[in-house]
Amino acid sequence: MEEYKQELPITEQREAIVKTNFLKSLLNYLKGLMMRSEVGISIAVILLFIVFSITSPSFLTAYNIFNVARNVSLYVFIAIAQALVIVGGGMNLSVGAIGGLAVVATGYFIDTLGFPPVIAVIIALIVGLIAGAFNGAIITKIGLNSFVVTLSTLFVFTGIVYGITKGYPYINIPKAFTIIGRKGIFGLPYVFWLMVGALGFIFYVFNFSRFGRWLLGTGGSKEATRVSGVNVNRIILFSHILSGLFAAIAGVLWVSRMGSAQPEIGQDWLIISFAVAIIGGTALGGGSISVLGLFIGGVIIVLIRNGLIMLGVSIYFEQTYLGFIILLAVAVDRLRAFYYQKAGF
Amino acid sequence: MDNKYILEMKNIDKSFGGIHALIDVNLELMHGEILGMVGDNAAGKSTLMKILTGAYRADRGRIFFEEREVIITNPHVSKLLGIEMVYQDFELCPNLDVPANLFLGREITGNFIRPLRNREMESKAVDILRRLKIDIKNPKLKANRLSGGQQQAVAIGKAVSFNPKVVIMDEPTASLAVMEIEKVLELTLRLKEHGISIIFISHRLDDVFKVSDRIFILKHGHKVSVKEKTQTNKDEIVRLMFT
Repeated sequence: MEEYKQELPITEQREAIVKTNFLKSLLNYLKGLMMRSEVGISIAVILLFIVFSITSPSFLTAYNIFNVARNVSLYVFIAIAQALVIVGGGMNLSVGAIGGLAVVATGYFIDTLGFPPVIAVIIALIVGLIAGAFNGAIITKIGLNSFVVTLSTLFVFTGIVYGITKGYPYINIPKAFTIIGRKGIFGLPYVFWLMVGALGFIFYVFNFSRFGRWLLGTGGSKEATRVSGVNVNRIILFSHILSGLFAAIAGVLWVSRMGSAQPEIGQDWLIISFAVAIIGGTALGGGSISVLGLFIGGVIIVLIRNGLIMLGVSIYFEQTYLGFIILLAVAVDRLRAFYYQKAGF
Repeated sequence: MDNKYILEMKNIDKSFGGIHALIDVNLELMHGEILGMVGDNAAGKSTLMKILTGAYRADRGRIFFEEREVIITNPHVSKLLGIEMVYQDFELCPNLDVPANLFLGREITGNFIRPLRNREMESKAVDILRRLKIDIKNPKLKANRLSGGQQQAVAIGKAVSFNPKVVIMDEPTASLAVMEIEKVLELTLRLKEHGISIIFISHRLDDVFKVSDRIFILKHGHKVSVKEKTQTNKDEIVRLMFT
């Protein structure tokens, strides 16, 4: 057989090797790409867009796109508040309650005390910071689990919201205050552009700041980060403060969108915050976050909610759907990690 | 103090409640030597090293570092002096890549809002790996994608990347496969070539004999003896450890 073997000239051999290496690299790149959580959920978004565009003629209207973009933006703010804590290995069950505090602070200072909206917003954001700092301080100073602490403060903050409002909304909100929540520019709402800025900030934090690097480290291995000379407790505390701030921003934007400060705002944020963050690739165990994923996660949840309404599916079962979606996202994440390990990536 | 020593720990006592973990222990580490440290479980090895790294404070005793008496109140002080520790279980963040792990806690930043200089850290990480002949083809890999030996090598690289004077290696080969142990031992010897003094703690006497110049034996919180490697053997060390 050997005598019939026809050898290629050296240059052609080289070209063949280059082609094989290129194909191998391309395949590995594509395999690696498929492993990324953003790719899977992007495909899901495209499929949802196609399905809803075909099944509902009103889906691709400018009004609906504007509405979807606004909801996505608000959800992303809520998800950032959750993801900032999850990435450090914790969780914040009081995200919605902190948002509720900010809503009430905004309404109370504008409606009851007659403060200018700018001052009321600043106070609302400070309330969010303080609430986040309260969570973080108890977790780090007393050494309690973030689940227990934020479950408790969920009730503490919700109690304060209803204690102050007695369940009544603040409705005397100036029309000018609703511009950010209702109007837009370039066909997209202002809150969308605010969200782009917020995601840019998060991208910077986790790629170019020490705090972000240390928070990722804390989520990956608290002990390894500690022995590297990082004050891990300070990092966790700061992540809760930032979480409180983003929850408060979401609360203020919600008031701007609704045109009133309703005490029940924030009550359904818990499931949204987890759904968007986890579907967006934030690992539940901590140590990873994806800025693009947060956005796409927000789009998926809003599209599903939006689509279900358009398809006339009972909205009363909405939380059931969202719960199943979270379960599905966690399962897919596990499968991906398993495959990732098996494939040797 | 004799200046051939970079480190001296004198008359160190440490108790936890009624338990005497260390009793009047003296340890001397010479410039550029590898001091093997052996002892059974609860002999006091980890406690002695935790005092040196500032995790514990001694009840009594004095520490001299480069001929000056020092008080090591916390791990940060220990790092400032140039004392680094490599742990048995690598102590890397599995979700961070090699440069991020090497520079964790000591990142290089720019001016103004102090952004991380990722490119510079990557380039320096490659230099560190090359200098220590650590075989990692792709430094952008996350730590959990590396083999146990590679992870330990990165942990050692992390400890030596800021020019320490003393490195404490606590059971660095305990979690490794046989093939990888040799590489870590070679790396340990390379550190010595770079003039770093090393305290090498291990239960594996084969490893201790391969790398150490002298062997320090602890038993029940007491220093039993210090032997020149060339003037002792495994049987004698085992006898000193257990009888």
